[in-house]
Amino acid sequence: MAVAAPIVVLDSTSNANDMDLNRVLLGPGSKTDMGLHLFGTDKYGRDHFSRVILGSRISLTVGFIAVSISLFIGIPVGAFAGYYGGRLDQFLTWAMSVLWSIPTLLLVIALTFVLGKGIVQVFIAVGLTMWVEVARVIRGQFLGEKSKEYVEAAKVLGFSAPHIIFKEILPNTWGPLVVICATNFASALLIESGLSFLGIGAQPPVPSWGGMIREYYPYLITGKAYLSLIPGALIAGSVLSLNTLSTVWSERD
Amino acid sequence: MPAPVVHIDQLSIAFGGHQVLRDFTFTLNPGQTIAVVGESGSGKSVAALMAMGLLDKRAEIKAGAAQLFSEDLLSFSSEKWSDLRGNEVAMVFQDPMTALHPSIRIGRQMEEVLERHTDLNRADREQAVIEALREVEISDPESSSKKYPHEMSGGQRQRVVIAMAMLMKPKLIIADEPTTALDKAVEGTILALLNKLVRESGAALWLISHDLEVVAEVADEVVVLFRGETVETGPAKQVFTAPKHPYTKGLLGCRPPKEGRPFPLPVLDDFLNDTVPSKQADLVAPTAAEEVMTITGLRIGFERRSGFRKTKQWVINGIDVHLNRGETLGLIGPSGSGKSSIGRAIVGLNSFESTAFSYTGDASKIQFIFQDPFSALNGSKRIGWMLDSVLKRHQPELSPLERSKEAQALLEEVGLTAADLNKRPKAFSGGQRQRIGIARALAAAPEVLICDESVSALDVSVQSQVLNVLNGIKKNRGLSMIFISHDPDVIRYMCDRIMELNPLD
Amino acid sequence: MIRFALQKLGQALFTLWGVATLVFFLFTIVPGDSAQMMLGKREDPAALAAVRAKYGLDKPIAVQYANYLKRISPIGWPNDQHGIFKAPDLGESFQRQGQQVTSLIGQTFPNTALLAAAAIGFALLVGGALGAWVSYRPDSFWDKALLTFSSLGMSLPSFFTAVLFAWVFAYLLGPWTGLNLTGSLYSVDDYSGERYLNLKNLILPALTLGIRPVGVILQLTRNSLLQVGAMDFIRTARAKGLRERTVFFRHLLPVASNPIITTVSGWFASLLAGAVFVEIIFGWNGMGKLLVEALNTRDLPITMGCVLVIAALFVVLTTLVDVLYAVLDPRIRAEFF
Repeated sequence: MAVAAPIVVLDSTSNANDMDLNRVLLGPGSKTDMGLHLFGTDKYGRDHFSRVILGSRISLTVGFIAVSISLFIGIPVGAFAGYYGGRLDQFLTWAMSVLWSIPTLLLVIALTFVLGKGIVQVFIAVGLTMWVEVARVIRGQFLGEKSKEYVEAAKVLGFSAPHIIFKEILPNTWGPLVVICATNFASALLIESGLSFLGIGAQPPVPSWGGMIREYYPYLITGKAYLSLIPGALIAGSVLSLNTLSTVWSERD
Repeated sequence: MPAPVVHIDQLSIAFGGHQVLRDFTFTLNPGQTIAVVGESGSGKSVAALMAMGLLDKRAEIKAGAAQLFSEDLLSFSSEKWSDLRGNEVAMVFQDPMTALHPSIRIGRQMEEVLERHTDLNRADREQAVIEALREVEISDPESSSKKYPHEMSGGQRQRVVIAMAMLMKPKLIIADEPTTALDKAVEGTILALLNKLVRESGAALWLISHDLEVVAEVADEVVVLFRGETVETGPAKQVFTAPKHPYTKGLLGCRPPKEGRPFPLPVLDDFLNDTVPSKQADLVAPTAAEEVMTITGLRIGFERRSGFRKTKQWVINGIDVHLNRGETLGLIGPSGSGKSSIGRAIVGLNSFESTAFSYTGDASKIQFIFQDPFSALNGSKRIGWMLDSVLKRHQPELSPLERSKEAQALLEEVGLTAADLNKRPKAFSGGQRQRIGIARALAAAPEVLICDESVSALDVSVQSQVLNVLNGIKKNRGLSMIFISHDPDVIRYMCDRIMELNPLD
Repeated sequence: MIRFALQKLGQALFTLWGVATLVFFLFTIVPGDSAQMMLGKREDPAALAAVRAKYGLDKPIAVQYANYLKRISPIGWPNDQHGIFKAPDLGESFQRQGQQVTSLIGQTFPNTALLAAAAIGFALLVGGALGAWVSYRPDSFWDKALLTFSSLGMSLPSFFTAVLFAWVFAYLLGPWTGLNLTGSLYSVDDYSGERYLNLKNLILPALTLGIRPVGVILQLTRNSLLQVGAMDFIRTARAKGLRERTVFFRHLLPVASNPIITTVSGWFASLLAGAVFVEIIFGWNGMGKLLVEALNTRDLPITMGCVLVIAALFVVLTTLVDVLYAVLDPRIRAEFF
């Protein structure tokens, strides 16, 4: 039985949205004909463990997509602004400072107002706002690097601007880039869970950590604290590990 | 015999297991000047910082004893140190720009010393500060004391630092490379000033320097350090004129000589292995005068903002430069004279105006060797990639295999090996990096090489190696060269013809 | 100096214009008809046309844009009866008929600002002091412990911290702390109906909102002090024999506080936005609560108004700090004089 339990649990993730009103709000470790409910069941009788596991999928996807979008826009914008300077830089810096003036959470809220509620909208909105941070970091790096002698050497050696930007300078910004990616991943996760908590992120019945906390925080005072504490701890844990990763990376030699 | 100011006995210091100073013994008597001389990594600053109680917390004192004014300084409390510093012992630092607080007026910074160590009232303190500034020959001390560091020149700032150190008439002054960050032209006067003030006050001076020649003028005794070990001590004149240890000989012998242009120069290893070449050929200027490059009426300026207006400030205003084939043209001058701007303008790194610019070949045949060996190479790339990408750009007809053979040949030409192709810059020392920079420039098959302060950041013992490589490739490839430096000895040795530049007003 | 201030002011205005424009275009391309939104579910073509005419929604986009800029600008147009300065007009709420957004925000903004200021004040005090303390003992046990704790604090989503704090301090420990699960700055007395100030209710929300800032400020202070502390002029200050107290307050802190103040000033605005969660959970009657209610009822003018106000505050604060630093730093002062 003990050996079989994990398999049953893993298998039961596919039943994360199965409701059964006969097994509502069972305690952790309860067993039903569905198998073992490690974290008990929720108010619709769904297996809480399965939903928590599935919730990670939303969080990680938001993180990956938001970071990808932000890199796709942020790297070229930051690189060109920093490398070329002048009017192009002034314009791009202005555009960045406009977006930067609106706190990310508000901008995402505004964008979801436009794009409608839902998880896809959150992906896009978060990605569209976070590129600014990538662009700022990359621009700063390029400003610092472009006056270094190796860049001047490349100019004297007759290399083209795209070669200098992408092959010479960009590899040297790798360190700060990884740091900002990890930080952005973490804040994407936080924003997604926040939006889901507000009810404008992932829509039910899609399981998301923020949504679970929204649903179950009133249960804190009914002795079912674990229903919201588990997803909360998971968000904090993921963000902590990402932040730690970025700190470790930025302090390495 | 009065008690020594500092007495250090068999001291060993390590940083994280790495020994930086070994069995260092040192005695400094009142009124005496001793210079501790060594190159980077010799551990010459470590003992001095210890004598100020400013040693980094990570430093471990492995063995030995140290006394300051006949007391065991290793047991001083921080309170005791705080009473001594600025009062009985004072320090002059290397870089006066960073050694002064950027946003406190210099008069105020000096007053703090008096505030801490005396009971003088405000007016008396201000008076003492102005007096001290007058002693270091700063013009108009009253208004100068109200200036911020950035409003002064490097030489003036160092005078302020010296004045600050002298305020309490300390018994010991430690000067860590006090003239290294300054222009060659002010170097002598600052050192002479420091020497004069110290002699007048009867203090002991502990001078730290990388340049044996400079300190030989003022020091009574010299201690030469090499990789943490004391290799030679003795009266300054004697060590300078008749060095005993091979390293000291090398330190002096690697410098370009005052007369003649022997090639190759001896390098440090020659002295350590006792293989100094005895008979050397001299460098000679080319006999035929065939012009490679001519620039007339060269003007270089920078935009400068003052208030709402933009004005153009010229650093070079109407100069003619011409270069013959096979010749080395030297450009010398103090900072601000625009010597580097000329070199940079020729390769297009600066904008410039000229009435005529003629060059026989195409622009990519002019290459540049930079000053800073640490930033001139792209830290994220392997040496092989660097050379290969240049070869691909400039000799597209070569196959990948030919390119890799050529890259190997280039490295060997500058005295490195094929194994170095797979390494990144951080695996190399400053001198090696500079040679890689030369190999990279050679990959573009240049006809003219512009060297902008290319050996200035290097230790003396490494300088000669790089100079030898430059002269070697110049000879073998028939290159023409423009050599830019602030160092008159290096310029005199390297160049067939010299242009002297002075700052414009 | 004047040139620098003017230049910064120009930049700030330019940024504000960009923000206003962005917000306008974001919200005018909202899928769905804003006139219909105002009417709710009613199907009445005549009423729809009347609403369109009243709010100028039947005019071309360019005209609407010009009118919008005119409305929100705090500077009156010439020939206007307002005079030179006027209160920006952020329009009328869709759902709360007849209520001006400006006055709705005016009622709730002070509450949120107080909350954010209390949180930042708490964070500066605690984070700054602890950061300075560990900067004198880098890599010690306490350094590592506090860095770990601050990382943990920075990783907690604020809504979760809010839920947690409410549960622990107001419910589990409620009998000892005497704190309420929810409550605003002003409470209404059950019997007399009078409003009275209830500062106690500020504690938990401010603490919750300040938890992340404490972590960030702690690390920022520590790193900045360590970095500046390694500089030559600090070594000079010690070489002069100055007492550590003097070195710290006169030489180290003024230089090291620059990045901290800059970050905090930029942050204040995002903290106003971040207060959303805390306000909902603790029932704090602030702008965040207003915003979420507006979101759920798709009340466009209120959402737009909140975004504009917070962004404007961000721009104003960062500009002020920039200019202030230029005044204090002789190097910048010299460059622009």
